[in-house]
Amino acid sequence: MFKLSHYLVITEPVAAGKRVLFATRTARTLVITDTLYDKLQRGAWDEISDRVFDKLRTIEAIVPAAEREVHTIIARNKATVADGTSLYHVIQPTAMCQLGCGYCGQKHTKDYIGTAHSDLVLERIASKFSAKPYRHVEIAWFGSEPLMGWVQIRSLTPRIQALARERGCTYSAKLVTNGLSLKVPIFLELVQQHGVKSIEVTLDGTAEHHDARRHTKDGLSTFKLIFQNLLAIYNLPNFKELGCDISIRCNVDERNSESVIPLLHLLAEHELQDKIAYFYVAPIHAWGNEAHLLSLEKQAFGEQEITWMIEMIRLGFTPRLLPSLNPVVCMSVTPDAEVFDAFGNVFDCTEVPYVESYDNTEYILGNVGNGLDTISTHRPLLSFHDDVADGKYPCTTCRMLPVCGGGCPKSWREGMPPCPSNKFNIESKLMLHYALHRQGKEEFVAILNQTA
Amino acid sequence: MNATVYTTIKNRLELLLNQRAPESTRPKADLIHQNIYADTLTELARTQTGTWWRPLNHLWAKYESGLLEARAGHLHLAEQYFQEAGEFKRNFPEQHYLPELAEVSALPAVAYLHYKQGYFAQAENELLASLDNDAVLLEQGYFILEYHRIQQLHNLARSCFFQKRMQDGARLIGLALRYMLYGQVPPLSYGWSEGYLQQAPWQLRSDMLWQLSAETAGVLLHYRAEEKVLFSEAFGHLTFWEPHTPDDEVLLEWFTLKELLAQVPSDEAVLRAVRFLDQQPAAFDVYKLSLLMSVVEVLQQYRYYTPEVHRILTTLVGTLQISPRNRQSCQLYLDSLIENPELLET
Ligand code: SF4
Ligand code: SF4
Repeated sequence: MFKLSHYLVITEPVAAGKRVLFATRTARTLVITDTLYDKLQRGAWDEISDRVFDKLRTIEAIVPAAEREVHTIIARNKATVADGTSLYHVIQPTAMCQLGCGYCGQKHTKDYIGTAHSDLVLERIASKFSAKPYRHVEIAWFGSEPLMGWVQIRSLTPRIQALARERGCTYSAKLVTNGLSLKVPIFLELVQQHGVKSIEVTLDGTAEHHDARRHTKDGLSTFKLIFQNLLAIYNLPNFKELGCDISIRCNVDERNSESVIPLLHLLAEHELQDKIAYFYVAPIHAWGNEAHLLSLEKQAFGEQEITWMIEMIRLGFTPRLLPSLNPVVCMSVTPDAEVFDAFGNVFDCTEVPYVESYDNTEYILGNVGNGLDTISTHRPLLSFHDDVADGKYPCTTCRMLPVCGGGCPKSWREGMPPCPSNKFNIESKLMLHYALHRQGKEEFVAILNQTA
Repeated sequence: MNATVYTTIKNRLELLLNQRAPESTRPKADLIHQNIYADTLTELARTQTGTWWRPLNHLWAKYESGLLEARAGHLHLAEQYFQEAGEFKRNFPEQHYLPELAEVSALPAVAYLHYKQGYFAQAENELLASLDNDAVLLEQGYFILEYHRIQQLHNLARSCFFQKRMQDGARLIGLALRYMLYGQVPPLSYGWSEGYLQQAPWQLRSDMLWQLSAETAGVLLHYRAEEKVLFSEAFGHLTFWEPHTPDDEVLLEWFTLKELLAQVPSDEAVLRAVRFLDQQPAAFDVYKLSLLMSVVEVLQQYRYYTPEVHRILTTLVGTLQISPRNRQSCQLYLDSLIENPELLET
């Protein structure tokens, strides 16, 4: 009646006769003995005690023999999308950004969302409430650089908040910014008046590397200004009580990967370990141009990421080692979520606006200015879950699917595997996790030596 | 009631404001009852199903997962779990009463989903089917399922209450309580036998009494106008039974006091109700609230629901460990008595 799940990662021995098992269907870990490992491999269920069997069954390491697991996972993912009670939209209030990053494929212009389009965006959002009993409304302010559209954020937010209130929903927002305009008063207003609960700022290494890539359009340095802004905010006496997470993203390719560790040291010198909600390194992804060719080869990136994580742990950060379940890969598989740009265009994916190579593609669902009923109901990426179930992408057979969700539907369609680093370094992460949680320092050092 | 008694009552109520309810001597009742019920059922099923125990256990766990999702409002995910369970169940052979054992968790879980989806008739049919299904297994020695059947009577009552079929709901609660306390067989399904109930520890009965009564007392708080009729349907004449646990003693006292306060109450009854508020642990706070409301009615009858009493009672209600909904509803009711003094004349 039972079989070993396909969705398992089992490490090599981490300590005498012990391995770590990670059941990706439930994102739960278990330390198992070699003897149990052997029984699992043989499917010798009768040799396993009821108690252990129950545990393995509960974390879905053991599953019904007849179950087509990929179908179960996809069906659960689709059910989770259908059960969602948060109405999510991305607004990109301006096409403008001060920076001229070499790897950015966006075309920046001095355009801002106007009153007429704003009204229509609100009308569009309001129209969604008839579909479902939503409990929460969330807006993500993306760019170009959203704070260049500060006036628009200030005028749109209260209107969306009022809309949420009228419908009995709570409201929150997040912001993805280059951090240049993120001064303390703006931060405070964002948090205290505009419901912003999380902010992501990008630093591509220390000043030397960051400024070589994330300079202004006129070639001026930006690191110092951004870093000063961040320090001023992180060091606010009531920073934690304000309840807004600020995470730092570090985009890397082979040109700046050596600057990650110096950046970590700089952040640690300023004692930000407990203040930064989440520090993560992202390989630069394609923006519709050829920038991805620069990105580190994924396997090598996976290995480097482990080194960075070890350094983070040494410095007192608490990096997220293991992934959680990811049933909703992104907004493109959520039928009610949309992106609006400064021109009133509507999309189902955040990476399409302002990228010229997507002009006149099916990724543009319409424009609010042409009438809300002209916005296409055909969303090219919405079939992603079914495509995976049908075996269209390697995700169908990948053991990471439950915790990955499938990476990025658009990338797969464009023929670029979006597999995250977990696929390549999950065993090392499990070993680190074990070392940190089970055995204390000695084991940790031994494992560091193994993984280094 | 005269002015002296009124002053005594008022002073005693005021004293309560500065007191903490005595600590409960036991963990939450539903935990105990879950454990007794689940452990006993597991033990019985394990011995009777042989090698099929693991698949059966897996199936039950699937229905439990679906039920948890449905409770969290994830109805699609719940449906998905039930579908997975349904597919797994197809391989069960017709032996060891496996199909019936599967239904023990399947029928109430699916009924709950249907109830949440608003398919009340379907949900109620499934709950009735669950009563019949359990009857088959009871004959096979699964005595503990008699309590499962009482749980289904409660679920049926919940469905009625939700649809505002208050009389039907209260009647079902009355059937369940009178069966547990007096052995009066409910006129639904078949095969009821007090003998089954007596095979389980008294604590299980006690916990179920506590749970059914607490929840129903909470529901009736929102129906002040019909409370007396509904109360008598659900809890009337429940003062002649033998308590077996400390909780039983408290419940018996509550049934007695509610009944006394519903008639023309003596001063002694009112003072005894105030003692109940003083002496019982926080696990009985919803019962206390229900009694308080009865005390308020008596005070009203004698025109002693004064602003002073109002102040004391609204503060007191604020200290009880009850649901925000119950608190709000009672506070609104108390406020209405003061804001509309003509009510004092009724
Ligand atoms: S399809 Fe890819 S790029 Fe678009 S929103 Fe989803 S994850 Fe992001
Ligand atoms: S994107 Fe890559 S890692 Fe993620 S599920 Fe698909 S194949 Fe696996």
